[in-house]
Amino acid sequence: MSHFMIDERDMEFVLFDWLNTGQLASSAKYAEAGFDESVAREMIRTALKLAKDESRPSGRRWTSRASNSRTAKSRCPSRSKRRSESFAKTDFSVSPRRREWGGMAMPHSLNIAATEIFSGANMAFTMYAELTYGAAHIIEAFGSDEMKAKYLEKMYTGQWTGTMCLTEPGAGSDVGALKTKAFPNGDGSYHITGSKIFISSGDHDMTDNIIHPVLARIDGAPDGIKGVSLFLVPKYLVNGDGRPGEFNDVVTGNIEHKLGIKGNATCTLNFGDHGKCVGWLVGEENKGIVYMFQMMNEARLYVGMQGQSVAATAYMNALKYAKERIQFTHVRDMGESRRAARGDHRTSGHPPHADVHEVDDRGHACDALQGRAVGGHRRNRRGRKRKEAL
Amino acid sequence: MQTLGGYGYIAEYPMEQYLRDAKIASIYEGTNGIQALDLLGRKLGMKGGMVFMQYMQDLAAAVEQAKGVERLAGVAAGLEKSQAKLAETVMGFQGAMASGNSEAVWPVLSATPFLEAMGHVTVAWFLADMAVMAQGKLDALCADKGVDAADRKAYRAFLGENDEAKFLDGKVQSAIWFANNVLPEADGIFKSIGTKDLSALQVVL
Ligand SMILES: Cc1cc2nc3c(=O)[nH]c(=O)nc-3n(C[C@H](O)[C@H](O)[C@H](O)COP(=O)(O)OP(=O)(O)OC[C@H]3O[C@@H](n4cnc5c(N)ncnc54)[C@H](O)[C@@H]3O)c2cc1C
Repeated sequence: MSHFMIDERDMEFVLFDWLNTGQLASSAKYAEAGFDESVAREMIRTALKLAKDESRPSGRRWTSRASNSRTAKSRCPSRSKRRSESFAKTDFSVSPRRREWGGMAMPHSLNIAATEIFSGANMAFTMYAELTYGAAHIIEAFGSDEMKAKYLEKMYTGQWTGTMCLTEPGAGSDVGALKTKAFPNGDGSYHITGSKIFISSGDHDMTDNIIHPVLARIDGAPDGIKGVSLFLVPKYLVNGDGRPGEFNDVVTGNIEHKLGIKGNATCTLNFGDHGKCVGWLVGEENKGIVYMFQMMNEARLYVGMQGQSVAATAYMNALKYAKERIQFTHVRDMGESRRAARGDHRTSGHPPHADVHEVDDRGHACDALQGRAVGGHRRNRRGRKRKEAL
Repeated sequence: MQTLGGYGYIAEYPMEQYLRDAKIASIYEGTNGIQALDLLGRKLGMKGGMVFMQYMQDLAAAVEQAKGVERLAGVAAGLEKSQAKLAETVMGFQGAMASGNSEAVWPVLSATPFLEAMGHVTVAWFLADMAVMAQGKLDALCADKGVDAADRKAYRAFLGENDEAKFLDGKVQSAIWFANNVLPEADGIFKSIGTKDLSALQVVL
């Protein structure tokens, strides 16, 4: 069973009462796309169903290996691929984008709400979708027509994923200190060399290509943030038929072992170690940080939302627990079924109070207990009923 | 995790994973420290300070609305007080940054607590705004069902049996709880910022 819980009434209140999202149907832009409040409610219901059905406590079974292949791929748990496909099919991550690129032209607030649901259910996995969205949106806003044709639909429909490559060993908060370099090839493309670290969703085997927006300094450009440009670097070069072809020399040097979000591969990516990494300039030279800031601003809102999403499911889980947890209890009658259940937990490894729930739920031994909810001053409802019965 | 006690700490329950997962949010995409400097250095002065002015106007309007709801009188008073301290602190920052002397470093040192305090004010505001709406709906619901909210016993019984009423009342209680238990911390933070303490820079490490 999924651990994910959310206060659905509260989400509805925020979306439809407080923010009055349904009212957006009166705008021609959304009405044209078929948006109204009932569609919005249906989307939220679908998101909830998907989150509950598809998410398991994430990150526990994540395996990663630095294989001896050139790409040192990180492997995803077997369920991830299925999850990623069913997620992509719902088009949630791209719901606000234009239809021509595979979006649904829905209001952004709905996308945020759906993302909160997915992130609460599985923060590490949802990052793959969010980074893909942000990376693709850079291409939509600042990329050439050729880039849009090559990458946009594939990314917006979840067939390929995206990342954001800023951080380097010597450049964290101070992005302008970065050392990754770009040398013009003379045909409009650039040769990229350098190392990026801590790259979220940096490598995986869920999709057959990964598109990296990479901040780098063109040879001879000024020091600091004013000399930084933005390049698109696919893991596999895209063939004329639009399919991934030759490996583009983006080698995964390391996959970090870390405290949390273990289901998301945090990678060191080495660009051009074998002299064969090609990137394409987005927009104009030395304006990379301006373009990247679109993605950073979106990601910052998203990170705030991550906190909210985890806090919400944590609160709901804690509330449920506190309502059920019975302690400081006078046990007046230790019925046989209850003793049996206690025996069970020793063999099954369940914590004792879980047995109390099970026993409770089966209706056994309830009247033997007179409980107080931990942390609450009111008598636990079940306890009260039991006392009345006694 | 604390609510679950020992069970919160073990992997049987999802809490320990939530805690581990959530921690990254204060580190990546700009650490909290960098976000605080961004709020201070970029956002407060955005569009010549117009964005912050709008924030203050909207907040004041929400306070006025909350004043019109009897149960939210304390919330409105708390918010009004905190807003005044917020304004005072920001004005102090502007003066210090314009001063060009050693005091200019004081806002930078205060950026992180300032982010926290302004966060408390913003959350209290949104909760109050939602509570105003919830109370309106609750009053309508009580009238519809013939429940007299002044009759405490009947009202509590109504909350026990009507999920919508329970939810709406909970929204109001959340705003009251936050305004009484968390918002005053913002006032404390503004007070500590007001000491203009520079000892962190003067200590020899
Ligand atoms: C799991 C994970 C995923 C990540 N994903 C990505 C990703 O997808 N793409 C990417 O590009 N990066 C990613 N990062 C990198 C992340 O954005 C950086 O770690 C972060 O920006 C901080 O940089 P740093 O680690 O170099 O720390 P530092 O910059 O060294 O900061 C250390 C401390 O010093 C403080 N500090 C820094 N500068 C100042 C200052 N001027 N004044 C006051 N205090 C200051 C900081 O607030 C912080 O508390 C990821 C990191 C992790 C751990």
